[in-house]
Amino acid sequence: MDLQTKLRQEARKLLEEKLVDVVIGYEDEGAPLRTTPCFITDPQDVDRLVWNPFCDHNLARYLTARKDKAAVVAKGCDTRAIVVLINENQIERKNVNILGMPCGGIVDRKKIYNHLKNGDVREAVLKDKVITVKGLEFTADLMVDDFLADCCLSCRHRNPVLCDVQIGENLPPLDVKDEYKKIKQLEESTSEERWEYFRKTLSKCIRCYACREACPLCYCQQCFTDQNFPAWVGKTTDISDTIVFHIMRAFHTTGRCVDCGACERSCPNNVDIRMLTKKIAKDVKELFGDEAGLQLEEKAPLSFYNEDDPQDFIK
Amino acid sequence: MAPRIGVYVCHCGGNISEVVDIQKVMESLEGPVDVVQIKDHEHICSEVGQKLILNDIKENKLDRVVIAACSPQFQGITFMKTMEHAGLSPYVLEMANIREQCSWPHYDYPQEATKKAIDLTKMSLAKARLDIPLEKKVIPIGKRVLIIGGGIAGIQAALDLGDAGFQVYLVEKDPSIGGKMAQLSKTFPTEDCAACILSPKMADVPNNPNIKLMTSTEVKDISGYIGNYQVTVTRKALYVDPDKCTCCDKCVEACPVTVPNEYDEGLTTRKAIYLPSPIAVPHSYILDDKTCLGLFPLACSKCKEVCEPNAIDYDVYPTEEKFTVDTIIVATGFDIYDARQKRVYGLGKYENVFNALEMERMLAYAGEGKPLKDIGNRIAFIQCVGSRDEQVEHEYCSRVCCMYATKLACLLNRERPGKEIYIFYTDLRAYGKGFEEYYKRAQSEGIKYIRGRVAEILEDPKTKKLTLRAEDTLSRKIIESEFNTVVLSVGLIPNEGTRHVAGLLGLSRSQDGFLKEAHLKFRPVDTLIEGVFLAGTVQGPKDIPDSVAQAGAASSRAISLMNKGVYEAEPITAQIDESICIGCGMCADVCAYKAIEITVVDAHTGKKTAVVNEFLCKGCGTCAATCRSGAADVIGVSDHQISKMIEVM
Amino acid sequence: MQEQPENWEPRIIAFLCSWCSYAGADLAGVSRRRYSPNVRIVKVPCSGRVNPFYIVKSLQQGCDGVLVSGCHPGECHYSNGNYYARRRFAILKRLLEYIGLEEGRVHFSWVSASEGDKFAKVVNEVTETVRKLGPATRLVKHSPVDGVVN
Repeated sequence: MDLQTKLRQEARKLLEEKLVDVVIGYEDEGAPLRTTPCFITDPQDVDRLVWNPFCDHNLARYLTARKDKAAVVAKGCDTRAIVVLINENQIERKNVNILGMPCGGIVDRKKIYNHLKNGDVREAVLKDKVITVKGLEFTADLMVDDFLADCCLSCRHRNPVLCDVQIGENLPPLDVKDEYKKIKQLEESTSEERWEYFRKTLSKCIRCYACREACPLCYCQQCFTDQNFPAWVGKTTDISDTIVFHIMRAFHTTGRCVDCGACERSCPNNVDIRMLTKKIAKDVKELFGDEAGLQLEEKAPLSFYNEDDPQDFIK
Repeated sequence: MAPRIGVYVCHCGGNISEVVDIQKVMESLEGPVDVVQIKDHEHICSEVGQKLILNDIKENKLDRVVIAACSPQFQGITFMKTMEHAGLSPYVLEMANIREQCSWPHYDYPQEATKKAIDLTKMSLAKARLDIPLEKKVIPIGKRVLIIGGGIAGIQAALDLGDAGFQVYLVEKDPSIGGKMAQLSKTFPTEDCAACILSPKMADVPNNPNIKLMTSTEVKDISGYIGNYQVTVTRKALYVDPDKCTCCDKCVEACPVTVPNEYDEGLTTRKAIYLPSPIAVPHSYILDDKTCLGLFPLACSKCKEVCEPNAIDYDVYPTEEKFTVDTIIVATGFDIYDARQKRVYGLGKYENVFNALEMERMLAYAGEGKPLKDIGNRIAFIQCVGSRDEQVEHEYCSRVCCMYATKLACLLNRERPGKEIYIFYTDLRAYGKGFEEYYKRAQSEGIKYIRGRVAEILEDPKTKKLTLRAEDTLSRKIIESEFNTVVLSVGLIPNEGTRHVAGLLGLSRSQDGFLKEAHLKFRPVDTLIEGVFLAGTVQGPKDIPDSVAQAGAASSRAISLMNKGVYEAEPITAQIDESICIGCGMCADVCAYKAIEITVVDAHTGKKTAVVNEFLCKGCGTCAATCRSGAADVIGVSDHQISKMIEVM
Repeated sequence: MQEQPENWEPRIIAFLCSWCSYAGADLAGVSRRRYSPNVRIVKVPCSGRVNPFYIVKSLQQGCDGVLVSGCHPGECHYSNGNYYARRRFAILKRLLEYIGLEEGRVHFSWVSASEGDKFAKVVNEVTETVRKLGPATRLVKHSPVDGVVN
């Protein structure tokens, strides 16, 4: 039985037995290379659920501020986000039923558009590991594995870290040579080069805050960018304000970001947001040995300390 | 309404004005409508200067004052009092430090010093605009103290406080007070009999009308804050009425159950109904329901049958008691290191290896002419068992072992001549009053001190004699020698009760696991929780004199707080904007004072937010800097104020 | 290193813990210990009070250098605020330098109330490092800062 069928079965069971009020999953709305989050409350509707490499949203985003009991379809990274949310009092463990999905990686459709030189994809059919894309003037067979999102290429948590039901067998760990290769390359360049790199990528930002909205851990009722007394970040598109927004958003993910890549995929202007969040994750691991979202009841690295934490940067 | 700010720039009798151009500073401040007046003065801290401020506040209806003068840490209090005299909150005063930070260190750069003075005054002005007229929070404080732990430290603190007229609740989990000291044979360096010097003190406790003694009692819960600690204790069922019991011992004879006696570290036995120790206070028999054949349903009842005064009642249950206290002294003591964990020494496996506390008991019996067993003539002490040992994660020195081993060795040596006693040590620490002399005396009496850690002990399976192997690091020789008895000088470790109480009160612990004092040097018995003090070994290993001294210090700290009748808390505290707070709990995690709780504030929506207890909060602001959403802030040093100060730059 | 405009002097903001480094600065003053006059001091209750925004805003505002100074480890008046600050700034400093802020703009130190000399030394070192870097340009906001007009 394939995972999608298994998933639907499990969802039907949960709804029929009234173990949950809603199943949050993905459905196919017909747009090529995409799925949409869906909220299923009627067991009759479970066949709307799909599971494929286009299931790219982090559905943990929809678990906060709920009062009902929800089942959620969650990839490895999504389950880590759920762990963080539980640790930060945003979800009660008993109110969430995690349908854990071992995940071989999801497709970054921007990579496909780039490959097709922005040819307008009208139709996409997935069979096994091949996506057949059709446009007005072209047809192409593409391999899923050639278009996986960057975060999936260095993923070390493909299997759920916490779940109530796991759909399918664990996947073997990915052979990740150097998770932080791109970060390290940038670190090794000069200060001027790094400044140029970030100035360039961040100048594309239009402050639409899609990254913030896609992030399951950006759950503040009022974001620092929206505050007035004091207004820490100007609301202008002065590059200084934009950079400060990104510095501080990244800083706020310290020890919390699970590198699901939702921010970067949601960005309409291809800003390299993960180059900031991943850098912090790397530093947190190097400095404090912590990794976000792997354990319940674990304190975030900034609300914890060791007396012998590194301090060679302090005079 | 715009604030009305008065600014004063002080010459400090030339200390400032000889370097800083006062006129320029004053001119630079002109302009903003809310700056109502700018004045300079030769000595603004003088009586004349203060009168000027007082007068201006009234005449010009000032509601903020900025003083550019010396460091606020120097004259801040003086000016805060002036503000109070004028009927203003002392918290709408800001000082720009243009002496210590400008004229003095930059005396050779007058222009730069003036520029800096202008900036600093403008920064103070920016902060002053957003100052809030805060008032000190006053809490009434009574004279009730909870003392947790009835060892020597707890007893001493209880007597000190009781004698001074304070109402003391002394809570002890065991059936008798006395603690570990009651188990000791004699005390170093004077070799006083421990029971003889302790028991009069123990007896004083129930005789003191101000002390409510609660033995067989455990603290279940503590909430609240200084002046208002709500305490819940659980009192175990004793089954024997201490008022009726005549200690005739008939019940003991009748009891069929024999179990190891804790008071003698299991070297002797007791019955299920027993007297906790010969010097027990309260001096009454108790029934141990864990080892009794059964009470529910009743399985035996032999003790009740023989009890003439009818003191035994099986139909009693643990009870809970609640009371309120103003301050708390934690004196929960220590445990000895469980040397069975050091398997190379064979404690619990070899018949003739004992820990030091067992040896204390054996000596106490021997002293009474009732030796428990023959310990032979060749005796070895192994020091630093569970102390100064990174392998067992106890890096600290337990401070008492060198001396108690010396004491035990002297006592053993004197008990019956002809003994050969060796002490294997790492470093010998004889730092206290009379210690070095005692050590010298022990050497002259023939105790042999060998510097070297014992690698292992082997037991001869037939003779049960013990072979020790060690390196004498002074003579660089390997020693292998046979002994009849080995005593392990075990270290002191934090106990379970301490962990429990630390959890209830939110006290922090040092790396060694003992409770952490507020300041190692200047506040050694205070904790970071206002109104909670430490006494005795709960804070770290110490000997009896130090424990007694600390208990006295803790009671005097408690008295100085309570005698005032009111406690004034600083109004500069954290504040949570509930409309923004998302209840993630990071602020509560970083709070050293456990002043923040995540609480459901809206039962309907289930909305959780952080709530600050303003009496516990000290206003450090770590929570505010940790908060991502900006909900947490510090009144009086707010983010908004600091951002305005930055904008001056 | 860029060309420096004439008469340019580095502007440095320092956030000092009131229990240690602020008192250390006072001691430097009382002892007439000379140090460079480029630093403007903001007194905070604890280095743990220093919100990363203080640093970032100072840089946006055009400060050429930022110094945060608190109590030595184990000496925090509030027990452990400096430990949390240390973690926070370890991450922030690396992040700022990673996005291209010059190394040497943001500094941290432990200065106790008795270390007037150390305070002076730290300020001199920071000033010289910043002077070498020249005026801040990166991260500085050129359009008017929101709400700066009072």
